[in-house]
Amino acid sequence: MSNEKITALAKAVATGKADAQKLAHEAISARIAPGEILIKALIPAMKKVGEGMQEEEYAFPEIQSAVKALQSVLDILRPALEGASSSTGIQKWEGAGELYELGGHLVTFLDKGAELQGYDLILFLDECIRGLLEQVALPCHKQAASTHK
Amino acid sequence: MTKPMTPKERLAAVDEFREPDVMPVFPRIMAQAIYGKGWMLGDISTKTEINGEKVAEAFLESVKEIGYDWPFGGYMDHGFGVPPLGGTLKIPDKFGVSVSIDEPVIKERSDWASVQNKLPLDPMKDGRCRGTLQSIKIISKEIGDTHPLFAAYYTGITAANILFRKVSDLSLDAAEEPEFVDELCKAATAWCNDWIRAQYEAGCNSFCYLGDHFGTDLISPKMGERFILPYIADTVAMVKKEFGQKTYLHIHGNFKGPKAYNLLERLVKEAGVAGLHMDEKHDPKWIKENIVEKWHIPAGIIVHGADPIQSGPPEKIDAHVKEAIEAIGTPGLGYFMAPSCQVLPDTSNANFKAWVDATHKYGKYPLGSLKQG
Repeated sequence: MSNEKITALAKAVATGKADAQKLAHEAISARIAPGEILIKALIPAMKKVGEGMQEEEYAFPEIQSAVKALQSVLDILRPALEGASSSTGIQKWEGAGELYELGGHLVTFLDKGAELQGYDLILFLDECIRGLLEQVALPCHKQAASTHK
Repeated sequence: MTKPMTPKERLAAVDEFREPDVMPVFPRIMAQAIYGKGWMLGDISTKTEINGEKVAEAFLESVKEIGYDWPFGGYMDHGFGVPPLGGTLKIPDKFGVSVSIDEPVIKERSDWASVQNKLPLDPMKDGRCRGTLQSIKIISKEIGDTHPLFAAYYTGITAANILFRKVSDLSLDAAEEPEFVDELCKAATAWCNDWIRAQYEAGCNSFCYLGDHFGTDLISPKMGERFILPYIADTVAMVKKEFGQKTYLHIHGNFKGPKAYNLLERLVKEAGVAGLHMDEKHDPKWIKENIVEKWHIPAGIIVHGADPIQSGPPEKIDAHVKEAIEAIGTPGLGYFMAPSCQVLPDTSNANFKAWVDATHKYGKYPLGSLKQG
């Protein structure tokens, strides 16, 4: 039962569905630990996004909507995990390049979360979102920078 | 001594895969012509009006001084149609800055219903369109016999972005409510077609030149099939049917992946795009092998992105142009020189001219004749 909930949540985040937060609430009600939700649902979901980018299936719209769904879930997990953090150990996003390259960076980056626990996982995904969105929106920024200054 | 071809004759030669005298240059010039004249954009445009006579003066001087081949008939930016629909523009007061959308027409999806009541939009009801049409008339009268004057705008999701909605909002719409984006694309393309009709009626005498800055930079090939392909096809068909002209396309993004390349092929084979102008992600060799030789349509080659033209110095620009033209080899039919996107607004006339002169020097046909002495 818990596996089904985790799978449904991962799919909802990866495909940017609005019911991701509702599914996360259901998972919590079913006593699935927040850490388990992060490791078994959210990180695999974002890996799917990375793979979609590598396969030319995902671009700005799909990434934006997946991130929106992810953030809606992080919002409800955050209070439960808030507390001790070793945030100095959180990896910084350093990936750059075109969409397919960013997809590869995303998958590799997410692998670095395997050793993290608790609130560090939230901070790790926050950094992932920040770095990813900054890079994916770069064509808009570049266009603005080159012509709008 | 053979008489030099006119820019119009060069376009015909490139399009028909004959040898021009020299490789023509299409700078896709927009605000640079105004800054190059020593003016600011506020000198030719307000938020609601464009001074067509001043624009024509700047563009005619630009064509004459720089010597490029294919101009637009007037000053182009992303603000056409926006003010009559309730959006506002920001006219920059700093050098080298483009006009931008200050307040978009559609801030919330719920705004669409009231915007629809203002459609279809007549270009003549926009003072900035009227001014541009006036400049097209003047420029056409002055150089229309020798120069091709392209009608130009954007279709599909790019037109929807420019006319209605911020990129980030439209992008999220595409994921969450694609039917809404379909409606925006349809309405924006209808406006595009009317705006292009008005440009032809004012004196544009050549191909239509469409732009797309979403391409695969911002959306997937699958979304491109939905939000780009049918709208390009619609405008290509309208231009062919009503004006008997072909359409070339400038599109952003990396098209080297199999799905993206398939979209590009469909734009050519299904939508009927007759010439392509890619961005800096595609070097001349790739363009030669994957576009010109594969589909037998003309294409623009570029010099390592926009930066060398913008930053110079002329010696570096000269070397980049030489390298780009040598990369396509002989006989080198079906090529023109183009910037990665546009000759950027803050490019100096000296650098701009160095790029054009170098193209005409190294692009003398038969190609390679300069090297052979």
